[in-house]
Amino acid sequence: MSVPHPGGDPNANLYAQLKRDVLDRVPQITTVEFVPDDIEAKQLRAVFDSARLEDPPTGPDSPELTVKWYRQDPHDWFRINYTDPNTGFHAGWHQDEDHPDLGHAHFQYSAADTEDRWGITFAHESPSLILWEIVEELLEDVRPNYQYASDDS
Amino acid sequence: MTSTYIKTKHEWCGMTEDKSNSEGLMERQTTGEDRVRMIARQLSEPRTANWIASEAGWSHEPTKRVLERLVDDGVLHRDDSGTHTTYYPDYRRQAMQEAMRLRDSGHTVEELTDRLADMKAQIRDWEDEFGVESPNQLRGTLAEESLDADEEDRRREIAREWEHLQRRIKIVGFAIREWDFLAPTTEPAEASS
Repeated sequence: MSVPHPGGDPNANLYAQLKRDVLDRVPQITTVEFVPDDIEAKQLRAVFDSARLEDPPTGPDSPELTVKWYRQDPHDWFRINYTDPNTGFHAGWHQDEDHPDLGHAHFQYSAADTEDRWGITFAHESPSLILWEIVEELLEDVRPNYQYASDDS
Repeated sequence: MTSTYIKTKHEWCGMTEDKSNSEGLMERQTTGEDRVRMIARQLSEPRTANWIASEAGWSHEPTKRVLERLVDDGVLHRDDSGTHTTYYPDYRRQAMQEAMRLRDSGHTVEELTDRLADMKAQIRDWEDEFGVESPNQLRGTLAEESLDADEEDRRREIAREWEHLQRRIKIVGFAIREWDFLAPTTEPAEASS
């Protein structure tokens, strides 16, 4: 980050911002907490109300979205993971070092009998707006299209 | 993994590509002003009002008005020295806010002190395990030692966590040192008649 910042921390309350800007405003999310607690604040965990997830519906247990985000130049490092204990469905948006062949960021999912991953780009640069893109995509595209995907599609 | 291929943004349904038919979730849950405020607090380099308006998907004039208010409030700095006026956040403020959040979160100063000791102990454990004194020295071991891919991943992950803990230690330490100074006012001030 080329903006002056204190104590080596460019964005000291980033998680509080992501919580307030995005996760607290998503109607399908019931609680958002810091992991392991708000002192160490290594990541955020958002819990979905499974009754509010339609299209497709899921079971009674609460799906979760975890957010781990580090500000760094030239690209932030983050892993956003959605897990549905009812179906075993998992989806992840990762901007990390795991798949450089796919570009800076990739999407990956695994459903009951299939899995896949591909490179993605985001329309925004700000963490809160990227997280909005991911939550929108999860609810409006990923769950409807991939939660019950199978290999013969 | 079965297959890998690059999927272009146009293949995603929904998202931010075409807002002509329906508003996305973000548009329904945030206002333009909300988005300008979100962006302003997370800028990693000085940006113009035009850039911020475009990122927010909002028009230039109201964006500029919100930015000027944020400058007045001390959230942003304005730089008029270049060809275009740019804005960037005062990140000291965010460190202070985080310390205040910890002060107001219902924890006792003893709890914060215990957790501070835990975080320092975790770092000492890493120093002992790897024989290094900093996250970058730990990253350096990837070049020096022949490690398998899992161990490389683990060390990279620890280096990131280590940096995060160092930052948290600074903020938690600040909140503990200034515990009394940061005490919240217990009662809202009575309006004088």
